[in-house]
Amino acid sequence: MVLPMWWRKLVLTLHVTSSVGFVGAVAAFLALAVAGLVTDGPLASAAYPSMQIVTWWVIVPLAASTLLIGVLQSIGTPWGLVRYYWVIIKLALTLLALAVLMLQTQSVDMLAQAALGGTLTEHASTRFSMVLHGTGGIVVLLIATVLSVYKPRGMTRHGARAISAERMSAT
Amino acid sequence: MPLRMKLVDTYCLDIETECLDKYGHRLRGDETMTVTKNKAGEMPRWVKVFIGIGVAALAVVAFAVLSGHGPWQHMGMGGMH
Repeated sequence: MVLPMWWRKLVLTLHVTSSVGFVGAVAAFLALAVAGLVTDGPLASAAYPSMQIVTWWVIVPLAASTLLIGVLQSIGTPWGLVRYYWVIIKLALTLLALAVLMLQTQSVDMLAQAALGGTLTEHASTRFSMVLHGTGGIVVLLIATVLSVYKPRGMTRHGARAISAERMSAT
Repeated sequence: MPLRMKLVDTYCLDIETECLDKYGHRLRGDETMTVTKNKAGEMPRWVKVFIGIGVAALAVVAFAVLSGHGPWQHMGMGGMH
């Protein structure tokens, strides 16, 4: 099922917007996580509730839309979802990022509550964990971006069979 | 070596649909070679490197979880130390 060109451009626009926005939102998350870790007082108390808002209102919707639109885009073009290794690895990285993100939302909620309750100093390891996971998220998303741009070679067996079948049906 | 001889083994010449990129543009020259140089089903080296890094990362996470540094350590009472 290959989408018409007009739809493909629309889906591509949505995918680039959501995925680049995802990277930017995680960068903002990381900045807040660093600010919350290295400072104390009002700035740290403000950082974690802000992180909670950025996470739930921006990062989670962008992560979900990146995944859904990416899958739609791949099955709607000749690239397919499992025809090329770079597409499979990019899908795996996005799924990993989304899974880790959803696990981290509990910690983000907890830190926001702790900031409002004035008990942030009891959560040093969690605050460091936010910086660690934010950095890891940026790295994973940048790798996915590089794969999208360079599209390294490599076709799967399934891809070769599918394309051979398409060729046979076309002739 | 004539260009046709160089490209004859690639999937682009062999299979028409391989010549399209994700935007529907036809690939040419180096671009075609980059996408289609390997034989079908043969896993490229870069994929093996990625898989190796992934397995190593999983091993580190498994070790962390088994040694009591799992994600739950940062939640609830686990974060109180």
